[in-house]
Amino acid sequence: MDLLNLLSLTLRAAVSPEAAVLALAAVGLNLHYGHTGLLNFGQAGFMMMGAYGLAIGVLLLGLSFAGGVVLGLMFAVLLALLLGVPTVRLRADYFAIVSLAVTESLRLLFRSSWMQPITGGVQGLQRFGDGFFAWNPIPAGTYELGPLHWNEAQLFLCIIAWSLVVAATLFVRILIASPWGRVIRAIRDNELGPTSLGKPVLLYKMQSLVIGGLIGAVAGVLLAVNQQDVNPETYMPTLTFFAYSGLVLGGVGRTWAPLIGVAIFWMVIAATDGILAAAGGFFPWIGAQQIGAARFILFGIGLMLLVIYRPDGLFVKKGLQRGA
Amino acid sequence: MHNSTRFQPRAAVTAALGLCLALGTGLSTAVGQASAGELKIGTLLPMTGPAAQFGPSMLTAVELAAKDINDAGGILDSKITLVNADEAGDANIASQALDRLLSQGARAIMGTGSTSVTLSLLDKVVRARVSMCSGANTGPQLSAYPNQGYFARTSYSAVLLGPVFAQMAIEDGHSKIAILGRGDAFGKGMSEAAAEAFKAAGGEVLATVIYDPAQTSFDSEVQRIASLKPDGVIVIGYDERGKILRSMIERGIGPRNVGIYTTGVLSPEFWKSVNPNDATVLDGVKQAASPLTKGNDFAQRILAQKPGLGTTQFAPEQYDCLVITALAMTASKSTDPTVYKDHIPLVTKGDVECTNYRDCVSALGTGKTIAYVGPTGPTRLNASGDPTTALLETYAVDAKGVSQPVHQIQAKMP
Amino acid sequence: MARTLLALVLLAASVMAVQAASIGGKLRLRSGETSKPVAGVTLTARSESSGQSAQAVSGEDGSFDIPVPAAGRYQVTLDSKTLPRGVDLPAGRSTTLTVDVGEGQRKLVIFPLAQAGAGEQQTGPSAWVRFLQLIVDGTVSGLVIAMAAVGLSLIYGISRIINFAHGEFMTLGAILAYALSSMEGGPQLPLVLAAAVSLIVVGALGGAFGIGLVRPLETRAKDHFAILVFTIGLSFAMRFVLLAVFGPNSYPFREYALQEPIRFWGLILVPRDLTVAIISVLILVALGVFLLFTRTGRAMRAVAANPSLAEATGIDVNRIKRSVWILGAGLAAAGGVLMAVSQQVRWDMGYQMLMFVFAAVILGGIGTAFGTIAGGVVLGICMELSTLVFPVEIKTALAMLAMSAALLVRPQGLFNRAQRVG
Repeated sequence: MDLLNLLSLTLRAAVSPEAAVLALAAVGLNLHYGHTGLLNFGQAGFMMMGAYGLAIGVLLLGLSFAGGVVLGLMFAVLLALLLGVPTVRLRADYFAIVSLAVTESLRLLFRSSWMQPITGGVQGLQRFGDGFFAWNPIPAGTYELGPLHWNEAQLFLCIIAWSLVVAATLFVRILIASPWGRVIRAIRDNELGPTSLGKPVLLYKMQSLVIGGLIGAVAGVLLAVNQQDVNPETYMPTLTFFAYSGLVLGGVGRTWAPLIGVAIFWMVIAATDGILAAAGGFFPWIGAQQIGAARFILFGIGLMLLVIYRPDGLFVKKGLQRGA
Repeated sequence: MHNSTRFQPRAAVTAALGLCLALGTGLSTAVGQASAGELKIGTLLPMTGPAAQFGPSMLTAVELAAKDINDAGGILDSKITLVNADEAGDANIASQALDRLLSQGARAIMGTGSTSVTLSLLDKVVRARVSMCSGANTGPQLSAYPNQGYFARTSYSAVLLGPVFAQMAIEDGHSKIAILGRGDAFGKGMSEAAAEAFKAAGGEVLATVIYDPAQTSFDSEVQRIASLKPDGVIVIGYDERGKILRSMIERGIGPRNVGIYTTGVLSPEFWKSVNPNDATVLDGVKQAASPLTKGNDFAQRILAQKPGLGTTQFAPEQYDCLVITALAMTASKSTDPTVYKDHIPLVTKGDVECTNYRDCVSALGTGKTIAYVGPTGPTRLNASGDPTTALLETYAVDAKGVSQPVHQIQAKMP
Repeated sequence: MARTLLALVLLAASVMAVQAASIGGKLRLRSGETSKPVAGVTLTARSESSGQSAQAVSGEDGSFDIPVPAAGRYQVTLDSKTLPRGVDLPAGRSTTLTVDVGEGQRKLVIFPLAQAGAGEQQTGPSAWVRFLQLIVDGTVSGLVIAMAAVGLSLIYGISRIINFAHGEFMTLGAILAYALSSMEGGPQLPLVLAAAVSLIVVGALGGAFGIGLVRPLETRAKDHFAILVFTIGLSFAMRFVLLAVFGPNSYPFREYALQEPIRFWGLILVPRDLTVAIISVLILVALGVFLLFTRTGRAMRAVAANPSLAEATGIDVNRIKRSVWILGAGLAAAGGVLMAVSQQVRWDMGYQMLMFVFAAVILGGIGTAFGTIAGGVVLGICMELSTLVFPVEIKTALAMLAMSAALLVRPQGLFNRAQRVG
């Protein structure tokens, strides 16, 4: 693979719908953890709620696309309440494994035969996104920008997806700058402070959980539309880990961290894939399986190095305090 | 100074991105072109993830097929070059990997290793107007998915394959069976279809136990089946079958007590996953798999291509995927997927039967329509790319742990 | 005799007419554990469309083959008058079956036969035996979960770190033991020795990890999120290195591979599982004794409860922390080896177990070793018992949900002291 091919591939990854989905999920996580101190490891569950809500709404209830999205958002709120009410007062890392376990159990339920009539069980649901593409105003054809090219459907999806990411980022920024946001940040830093001032801390945390979860649900909707398929195997904890990786790369708590961090993260994923594939040609004694494994090994090592040398994000040198 | 240390890395990254864009703009036409006489075929196979045991087998099959095709002169005067990617059993990773293959100019994609990954990619494949062929997807929903001809498979839907298990059990004279199946798209569809077929033939299915793929221990499920005293047991799963078979033998429903019918080709080393001290442990276990049609010493050739392969499951099917795609390109005289895709089913159900790429190309050269029958057997794909017929071979494991052919079974889509 | 001849002729005819359709099968008589072929029975196939009939008689090996002229729907009837004395179809089973035969297809049918008056078929063990068996199975798997989880809990108690790479320590323990004892071309040591070596190596690795990598990070990030992400990265890196090295297949240990089970009171237990259970109990009891009665153990509990106070009483907190990491990692490796003995060695076996470990820890109470052990055993038993009512495939999901429900009642865990975990 030549260098130009690699560059174009990396660039394409940075603006792909997959990256947008992860970026949106990371915006939600940034609100949860970066601003509120809620270590939510179940973001994949919120994405699943959005995605399945859309699919079930369109396929089983005959709703329009917009109706399906609303249903997905409602599911996400339900999950936030179900998860949050008993657990939002727990310590951060404890909340992490609880949120992980609850969303995993929900995923397993969605996969079971018992829920098959509604969720499609192991086979999932397909072909519910035509309503979205019906809104596409772009005329048919191929569009190019430099080394990148899309057809009208892909281009529409990319534009909508990234617009949502930017919108969500700005929304969270405004939210944090507001009085509500100040209380949230005070809660993150030290819960005793706002509590002693009489603020209902748990209520604020729940609100944060719901809002961040709704953003995650929108990410799930985008993911489902991108694939025209919802499947329980897609919403594994790995998805949440990827979103967190992007967030950490960008710098937890910083406004544009989710967008930039995830874009870079996804570029690295694409680049390592391309480089390893090319390298495999030079070392025939390395099997294809080892090459596939090598990418995740690099991901793991990269994450470890990132945390040691750049714990506040790629752009902040070691030792500097986290931004206000 | 505070500002400069903070902004420097950011500026550098932005500059780098801009440079990429500029470079790419200037030379966009050069990107992704294959050199003359070279045809790129992409593989999108499970090298990591839950289906990782099948990845090497499927990749070796594609490599063998590419070698055979190139030795016979290639496709339309071009030689095949493979570009490989890992779908990792993860929809996002697979999607990005597919992008890479497309950007490298792949004219056809060989993959994927599981129905759920294919379903998550299928819309993208159709929108990108590229042809994909899988030798491992068995989910029934693929039959109904409107793929406009851009997807084909040489692996049989569970609806076609399930009854074959029932048939093997009936042939051995069993009237009461139990089924133990993996709770995913692969195992459930197969188990349910097998149970249906067995009951329709007048038999009794004592229990169909679908287990959770996340389980690590299967003893209580096996014990439940053992306590029902079946004549035969159908086991449908991945590599956890080693644990399951061991548990079955210990609980008195091993191959020496009941008939055991399982999926796919058990590799000659599989008995080590049951009892590494005894090669006779699987003696009598039956499977139904591709007949590896006579005159095509596929089994030896694939192991010669890559010695030490853990399993050869899905290898014949994936081999045929590439050959069928190559024949479609030859028949339509084009490597453009929008043109050759319609020929993919046609080359499997024409007039003249041929069993390898070289002979098929000669037949095409004389203006005839061909029906390619490779190591998988006849497939007769319909317009949706689904096999409508299956010729399978019943294998029985012998005392050395090697699967020996017993006889052939013909199955048709109901 | 004439009948047999007829059958042979018909059989030969059907074999020669390769493309012709037929309806066939095999008649066997089940009596207890064995089955014998039943010969001389007449079967008739009548076409629903044309009304034509064809006949065949079952041969010496019980098999019969009725050639039919064309595809279509047929009524297949077994002539019960031609059945041997004392043999009949089971009660409620009709002598007629309707099948669709495809073009050129040999359709198979089943007529199960049993001794007349054999009475109601045994439907399996009694509910009581099933219940007890599930408790036995659940206890074994619960002890494995407990062994896997207790190390995580100890490490959390000391350093408030949830080590996501805990599963990989388990897998590493199992794979090392496998390499030393069962791998072809390896030293082929006895498993006990291999396991001991593996425990020591992984324990040392854990200690090095705890001190070398975690402690510098500990002092920097006040909320441990960075460490959590670090352990996630480590988990990925280790797991895929193990995949690259060990391959995707699973293998049992050379010893204890296949055994004759122990049968008692209608229950069944493989000696291997009994060994695993006993060793787990011994280790866990030894751990309990260690924590309660030895100086180091008490120091560990002191540091876990209140590090500054412990330091004030003269305990070397750093030495204790290192010891806990070694102990936790060693226990993880032991859990991995035991899990592999009971099940098999696989590159992601620890990761597969991680969800159950978390569930056990949440259920039992994090930070308390005794609570975690109890949580693990309870989880194992409840998962198995749930299959009495619910389908097996949601066993894991139910376990997770039950744990989530338990949180509503007692978020700090069922066996923990009532304490703030917020």
